[in-house]
Amino acid sequence: MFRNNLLGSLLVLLLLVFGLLSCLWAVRYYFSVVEAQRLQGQYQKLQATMAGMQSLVNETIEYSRRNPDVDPLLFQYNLKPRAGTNVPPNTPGTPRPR
Amino acid sequence: MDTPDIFSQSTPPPERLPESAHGTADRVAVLEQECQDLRTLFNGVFLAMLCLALAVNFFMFKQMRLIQQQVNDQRPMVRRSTEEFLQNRHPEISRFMAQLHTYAAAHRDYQTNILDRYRPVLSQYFPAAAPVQSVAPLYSTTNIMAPPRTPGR
Repeated sequence: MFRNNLLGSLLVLLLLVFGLLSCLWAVRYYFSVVEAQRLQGQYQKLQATMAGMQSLVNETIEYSRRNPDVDPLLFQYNLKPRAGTNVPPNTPGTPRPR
Repeated sequence: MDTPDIFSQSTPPPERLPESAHGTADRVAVLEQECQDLRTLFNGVFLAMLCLALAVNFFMFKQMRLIQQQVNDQRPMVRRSTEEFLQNRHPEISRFMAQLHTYAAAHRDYQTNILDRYRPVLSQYFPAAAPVQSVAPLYSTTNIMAPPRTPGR
């Protein structure tokens, strides 16, 4: 049939090529989405760690008002301003000025 | 398309051959016309499917490029943030958390009320949990809450 119908053969061939191209785009799209999700998860985990750390520091500062014996630890990391100084408190992990 | 098979089945008797030859030619013409119509229809359908495939291809290509561009934009930012965190913040947080654990070991209220609540979020800075023992607890000599031991036992 295809020997007598050159146009039909050409159309079938083109359709096959487009089908293969669609598969290629689909595979590349899938792997791109997987990588995007991985990057997003990594970044969100980092953000969650920082937010959790900040919250822990805040609660520790609050705790230090009732139990001042944790103060040396907070002073050491510059998380709580010493009495009589105007140095702003730091967050753990923030590079301190050397 | 082999036409002789079709006509061999409906071959008329020899005595009426001159009359039916004209009808056979008509049938052939009709069949040829139908075949041509089918071929045209086939080409039309395939052309429509090609248009559809072209549109699908275009859409998928655009989507793929979009997400790839997004990934290419995100990758350096996430890598930079991660490296910055691991180089600068992680060591300091680890030291701070180690000291907090030491402090919490001596202050159980801090351990139970504050530090333990952050175990799910900051699990990487917590030591691995000890396995739960199903046997009766052993009283440590350093535990001030333990009941005093009876001498002589």
